[in-house]
Amino acid sequence: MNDIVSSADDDPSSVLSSYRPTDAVFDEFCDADGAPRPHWAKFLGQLDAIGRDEFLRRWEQAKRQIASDGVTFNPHDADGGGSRPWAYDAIPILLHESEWTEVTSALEQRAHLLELILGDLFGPQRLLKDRILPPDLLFGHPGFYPAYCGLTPPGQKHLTLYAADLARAPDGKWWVMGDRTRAPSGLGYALENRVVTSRVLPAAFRRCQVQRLAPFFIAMKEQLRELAMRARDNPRILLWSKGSESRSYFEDAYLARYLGYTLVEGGDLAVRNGRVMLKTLGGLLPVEVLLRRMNDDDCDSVELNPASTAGVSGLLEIVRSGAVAIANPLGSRLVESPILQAFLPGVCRHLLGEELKMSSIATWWCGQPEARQYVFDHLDQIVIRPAFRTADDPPIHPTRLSAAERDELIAAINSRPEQYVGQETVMRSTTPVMTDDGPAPWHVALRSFLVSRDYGYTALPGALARVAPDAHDLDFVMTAGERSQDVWILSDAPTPNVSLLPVAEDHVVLRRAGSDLPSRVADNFFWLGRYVERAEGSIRLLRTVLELSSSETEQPEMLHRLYRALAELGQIEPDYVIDDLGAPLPDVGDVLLEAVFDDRMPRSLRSTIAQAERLVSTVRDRVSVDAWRAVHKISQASRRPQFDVLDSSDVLELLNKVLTELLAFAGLAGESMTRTQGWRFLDLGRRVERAWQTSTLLNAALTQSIDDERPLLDAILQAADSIMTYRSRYLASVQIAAVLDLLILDESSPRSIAFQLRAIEDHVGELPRDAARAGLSAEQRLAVSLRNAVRLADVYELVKSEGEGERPQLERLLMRLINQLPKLADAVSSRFLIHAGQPRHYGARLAADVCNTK
Amino acid sequence: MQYKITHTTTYQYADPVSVCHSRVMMTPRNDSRTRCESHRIKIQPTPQVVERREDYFGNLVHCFSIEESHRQLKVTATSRVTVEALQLPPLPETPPWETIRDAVANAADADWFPASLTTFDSPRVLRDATFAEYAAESFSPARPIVEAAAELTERINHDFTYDTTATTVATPTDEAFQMRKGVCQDFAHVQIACLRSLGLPARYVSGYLRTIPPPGEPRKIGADESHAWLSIFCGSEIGWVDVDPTNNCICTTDHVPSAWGRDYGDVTPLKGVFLGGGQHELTVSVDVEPLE
Repeated sequence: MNDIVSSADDDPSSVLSSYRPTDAVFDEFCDADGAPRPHWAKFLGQLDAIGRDEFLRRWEQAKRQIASDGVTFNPHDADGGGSRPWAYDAIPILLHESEWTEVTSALEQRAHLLELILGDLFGPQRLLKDRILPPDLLFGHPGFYPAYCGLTPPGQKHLTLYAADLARAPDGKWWVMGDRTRAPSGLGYALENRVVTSRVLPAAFRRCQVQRLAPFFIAMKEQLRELAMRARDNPRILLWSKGSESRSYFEDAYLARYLGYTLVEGGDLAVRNGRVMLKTLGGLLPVEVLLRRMNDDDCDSVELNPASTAGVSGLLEIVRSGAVAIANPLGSRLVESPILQAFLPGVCRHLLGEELKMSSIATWWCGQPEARQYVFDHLDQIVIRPAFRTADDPPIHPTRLSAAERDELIAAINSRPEQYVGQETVMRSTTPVMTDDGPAPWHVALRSFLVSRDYGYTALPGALARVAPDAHDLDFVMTAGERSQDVWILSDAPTPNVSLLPVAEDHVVLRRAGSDLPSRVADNFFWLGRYVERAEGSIRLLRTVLELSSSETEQPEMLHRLYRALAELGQIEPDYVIDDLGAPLPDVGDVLLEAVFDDRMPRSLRSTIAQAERLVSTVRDRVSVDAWRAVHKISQASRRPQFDVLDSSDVLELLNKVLTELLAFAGLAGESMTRTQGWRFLDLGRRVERAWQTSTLLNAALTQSIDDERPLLDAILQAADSIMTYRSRYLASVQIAAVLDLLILDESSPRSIAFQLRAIEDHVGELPRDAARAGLSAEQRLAVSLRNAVRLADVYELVKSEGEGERPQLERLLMRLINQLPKLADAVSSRFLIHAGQPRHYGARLAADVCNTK
Repeated sequence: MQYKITHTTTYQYADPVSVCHSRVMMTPRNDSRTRCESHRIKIQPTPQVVERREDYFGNLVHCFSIEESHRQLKVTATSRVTVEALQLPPLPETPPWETIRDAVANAADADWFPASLTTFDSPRVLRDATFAEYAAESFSPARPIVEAAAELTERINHDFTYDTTATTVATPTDEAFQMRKGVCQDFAHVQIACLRSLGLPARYVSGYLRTIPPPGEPRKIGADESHAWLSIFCGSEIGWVDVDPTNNCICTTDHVPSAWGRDYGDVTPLKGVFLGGGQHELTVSVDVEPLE
């Protein structure tokens, strides 16, 4: 993406000198005369001290960093859609603290007001009874459940986190375009923007006395801790995500890491004994606070949406008892509906006895006849939105509609007027953005974040800025084509350095083992281990086969054996290796090249790696950024090259590259991962997979002897990565007994089956277990019996061949391994990993079962 | 009229159920005409936790969890209830229906607020023009509200076929309306949809119905009904009037309400989730025994 070319006219080294704002809108950087605003001066000096080329170079570097850190977002509303790298712009927006204080004081008032409204709607409902708000606002809201009323225990705030979407009008005034009261997203991106921008412009960041973001997160952590009813000094606080398919997952994992909370999904939680419990390997652990990213309706299928499967059954009863606190409390999303904005000024006067300090964008609710008439009379100046926002739908611009569409819209409003609002629009301010044609004025949308405290609300000294060339793109969710910028709040006084690390006096209880690993996460680690090992083993065998099939000393029988191994390991279709020696070998070589990239075959290299990548994203709050990057690189390296026809040298080169990246990941796992249960499951998966792969390979290739076995043994040693060890022991003399000893029986060789079995036995012995139970667990018994079977095997018995060349002893041992290893994996799964299935609803068919016919 | 009501629900599971979270609404409500003299709920096996509380509508709810493995769940609710006869002015003297609609919409009626909630859509009852058209035949301009409601009740009773196989617990109301088939729950939902589509407040009532044996035959124990009907707001003077489209009547002392809400989802007698269980069999028996 080296496509940023500035066309600076006067000073080629200056970054922003060619910037020209558009007329008729407010510009954040230039004043009305086109001169830079005074609070940008210091920054501008720093920027020009670096110069344009250096600035662009650093920005390119930052973009690569963002891509390799996997900072992504999903621009579609539908969860599960494709995600793409976070589009970032390295120029920040600068605001002076004197102005920002006014903005935040207005937003603090607004957050307080919304909190009071929620408390009333779910409590005494005076605002409805006194007709300050229409009953439609609550009773007509499609997301209203009576269960929300009286749910939050007295004394607890109804709104912990709040975000406001802001726009600045041409006269310089800020307006609130919308409220976010469910689980405001964007904090993680604001943080990432800050991290990247301060890395691109470190000197400017220091000199400009930019207010730090960390105090806000400290306040947020304190607030969440104070929500806990028990264990207040060290409550268990979890970040409850919608899951790795949801569009907010990247941010969920990012925030969980930054705040130090365990990331969970609904399936990790259960209600037991009047508490919410986290299902972990070490058993059920009580939970005090949930930081919720879930939709309100989906949290409990017993009392809320019965169709939802993502929630925790029975949760609401626990919330009522006060044993668990949720932030934001359930039902909080009801006050983010545009309908409320039409009434907010009146409610503010009624409840606080003062005017709103910052106006919402003018809003007319069509449920009122006069307002509806106003909307119809001014269709060309306004936009139409659903009154009860349930999704981030784009607003309707009547000016952009055809005459017929306009009539349809009017008919729709007339048939259900209460479902619509009309809103004014604001010509948003602009700010410099680095485009291909130099700095250009793009429109700005700010999202500001607030968290509740005892005394009121406190705002993030910063914001998430979204910029786009077309202002309309900023009116709803993040869209393609827009970028994001950091927002710097400049202080006159130096800003203290603050970090999220706890201060020395707060000493924590020292802990070694992390037994609070959610069972689901352990399962993901186990499979991640299996997949990376499967990929590694497949590559070694594929590489060996490709090298042999393209060399001159072709041995059809030997190749046939290796193809069979490939088929049994799921790398090629089994049809290619039908045991019919009379028939000519199909041209497997050509098939093989494409089979590597065939994502329809579940065990092909590409599929295996795609699975590993998916899994690492589900545990990304628990692996280092380096490990994440390593898997990302594995995946990048394993994509099919863009040639029409592949030849074996291309594929070999690619396999070698992927193998290098896989080894880098293995090295990271071995050297940098703490020996927690997560690591143990990763390694257990790897060992089980390697033992199974080697058994399968040997079973396919060696249980039937052939005339000249030496080239085949050579190939197998290659595929099992043991040729060096073998040669150092036996020089060039290749014999089957020595090969089997090395690959099966030798506990000192990290590639042998015996080595894997020993590691497996150690791992299952270390897994958490019920101390009261005597004797070995099922998985321990299996591990011990397999290990003993291998230890007791006599290599000379194994190699003995009978009549037609069969090796019955070898086959028996290998078949036992091939059959029992999956059973061992299942035993681990059923004990630690898989918890009971989906909850089912009582199908009390009142009417049909009970009523008599009339 | 006084009754002893015994409502027994039994789930038999083929496989063990490891845990369940449930809520029960089987306690008759105190109201202008009904008084619950005594009430007892027995749950087997004994739950770890039972909470008793009132829901948003004032219905009594028992929430319980069983966290030990069980193959049978049995909930027995026993109550003694007194029901007084309904006092209504002659139907032609009840207020024109539009005045009730407007008094609720404009907050002019003393009891407009609780009524207002039941004029809106609810998860199982969505207002629609087709319901309004069907209802309009009975709700001609300025017609007395209870007279119109009674006629609508009669028409639904006449036009709809009681059929336990046509619908399920999940059938949307508009589908039952198109088929003109269903059970008491569907009939109640349809009539509620009709009334709300005209802007009138109507709520769903679940409760018990006394069945009177044919002359000369003894009362069969356990053969009575757990039943559903609806209630229509007729202004604060008259209050709420219950009508039963399944049996084509205005309810008086044969109907004992236990809970009301916006629709079936708010007042399901036993709801919740369980884990495991495999195939299961549900038996419900209701006995409404007159004590006078």
